[in-house]
Amino acid sequence: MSTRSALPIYLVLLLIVCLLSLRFGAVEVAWSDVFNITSETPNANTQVILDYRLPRTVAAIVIGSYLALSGLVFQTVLRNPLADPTMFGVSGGAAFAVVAAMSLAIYLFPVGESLQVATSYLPMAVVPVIALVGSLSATALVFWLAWDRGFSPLRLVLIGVVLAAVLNGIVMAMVLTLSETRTELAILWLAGSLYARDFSNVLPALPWGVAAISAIVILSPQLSALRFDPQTAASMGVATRTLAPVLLGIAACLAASAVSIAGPIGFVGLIVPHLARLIARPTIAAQILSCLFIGAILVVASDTVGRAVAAPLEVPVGIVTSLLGAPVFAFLIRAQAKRI
Amino acid sequence: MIEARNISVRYGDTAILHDISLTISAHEITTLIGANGCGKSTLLKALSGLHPVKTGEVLLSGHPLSDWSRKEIARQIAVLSQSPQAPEGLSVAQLVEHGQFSQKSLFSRGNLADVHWALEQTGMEDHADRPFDDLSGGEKQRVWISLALIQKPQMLLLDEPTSYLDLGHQIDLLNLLIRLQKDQGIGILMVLHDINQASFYADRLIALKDGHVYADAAPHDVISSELVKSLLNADVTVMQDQSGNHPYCVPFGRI
Repeated sequence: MSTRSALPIYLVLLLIVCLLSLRFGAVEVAWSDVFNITSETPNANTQVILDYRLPRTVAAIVIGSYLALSGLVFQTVLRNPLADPTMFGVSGGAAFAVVAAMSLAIYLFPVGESLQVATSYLPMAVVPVIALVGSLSATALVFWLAWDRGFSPLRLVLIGVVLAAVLNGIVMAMVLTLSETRTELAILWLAGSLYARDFSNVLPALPWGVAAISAIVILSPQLSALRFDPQTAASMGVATRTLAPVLLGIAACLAASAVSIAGPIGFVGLIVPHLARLIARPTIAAQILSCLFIGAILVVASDTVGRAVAAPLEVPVGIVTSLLGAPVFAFLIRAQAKRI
Repeated sequence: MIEARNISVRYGDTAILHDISLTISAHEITTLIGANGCGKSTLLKALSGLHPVKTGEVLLSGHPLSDWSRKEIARQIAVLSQSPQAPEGLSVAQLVEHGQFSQKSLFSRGNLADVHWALEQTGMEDHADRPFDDLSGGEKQRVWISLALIQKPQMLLLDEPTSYLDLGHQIDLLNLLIRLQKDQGIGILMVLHDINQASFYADRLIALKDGHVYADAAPHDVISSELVKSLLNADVTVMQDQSGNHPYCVPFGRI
């Protein structure tokens, strides 16, 4: 499929899932409400859509496109189809920081009025900041540990996986020490949820993300050349030694700002690049564009399904993407094995 | 063009090249020969800056390699490694376009006329839109050479370009390199396993043994049964072609 013919298809699909995402959820609204959100006479339903659903939908678009593009960069630079930004301390660091902050808040304000604070004793507005700091620190730690007069992709992958395992263990231990009634929100965050996200959660991630995406687009010729073996790429004039860590760092920031909004949302960064390679033309520009759109469509759809399937209860979007992602990934691996 | 001054290369604790000094000219075909593991490929990489040297320095056009950026090196030297890997799914033209990386800046794009020209040089212009993955080994090797040529280099370095090819394609490829040298004035430095091909296609042979230069001269001054025995541990009888410039080896006792 050529880039030009793909773009309208992606736009239409994205529009459809966005409308569905505005229409379905805990509160029953009608299609007329969805199309009347810009009207001058707001009713309770249009208010629900504007205040609760629209920010979620925007958050889902942002998260999906960020994670997918970040995954494409990781897989391309590390020449490893199993690489995933959430693997490199990005998720583990965010989870660790947020749960540690929750535990600390509970320890400092054990009873009383703090229960009125909406989310687990932490104001929702500071959670993304804490998550961002956590994921960037963990990513920096992975890079620092993996550096030995240069980067070896294998060492980076292994250290990333080890650190993720260690951090997850610590997070689990912390969650278990929280008293039962208070673990719920920590677990909700860890599952990757868009519950109660408003624009103040999404907006801070936008400038970061736009900057990172622009940088990746500007560096796309380099990224494309890195798809060759390192010797050939270097021989073409790509400064592989400096470029690989730069691109990985940018991609990690992109993933970190996505994780900061909704917690770790699994499988998006892993499977969307595979889908993009399967569907899109083999040029790097087509793959970048496809990742942005497919990632957004997938996460918006997953969040909608999670809300609609058992309304008024909701399944966290991270659970839905994992439930969808695992079988899709198994299928992709089989499809690829056949081609080889 | 490329000058090595007392270079040594190590992989970890193992010394691969010891104190090698030589100059490679951009006006002839130079061939590296030697046994497996003697350091031929490493020398090729060190001369193109793809592998760092431990001591000594490599000069490119009179300046140390470290003074040139990777892009500037790529505009002077193109390297075809032993088993290059291409991204999946690219067409021949899309693959060759990647060779324009070093010519491009942020705001200039590659140009298709150059892609066509580079494919024409290797006789692959009719295959531009075919998927690279579908090509035969010989065709793929020609496309890789197109990718190198589009860099407009003064020197082309090739690591065993004829491995994995049948004899017909080997000769095709070597004739192509000769033509590139004559018509485009591109200097060629390559590693060859077949000492007879080296003798017939190279202007200069450099024999490496245990990381040292063992012999370095025109083929008829280098190839002798003693050298082949010592270099490759093979018992051969050396025969002469009519011109006397291209000695060749046949197994000892078989003629």
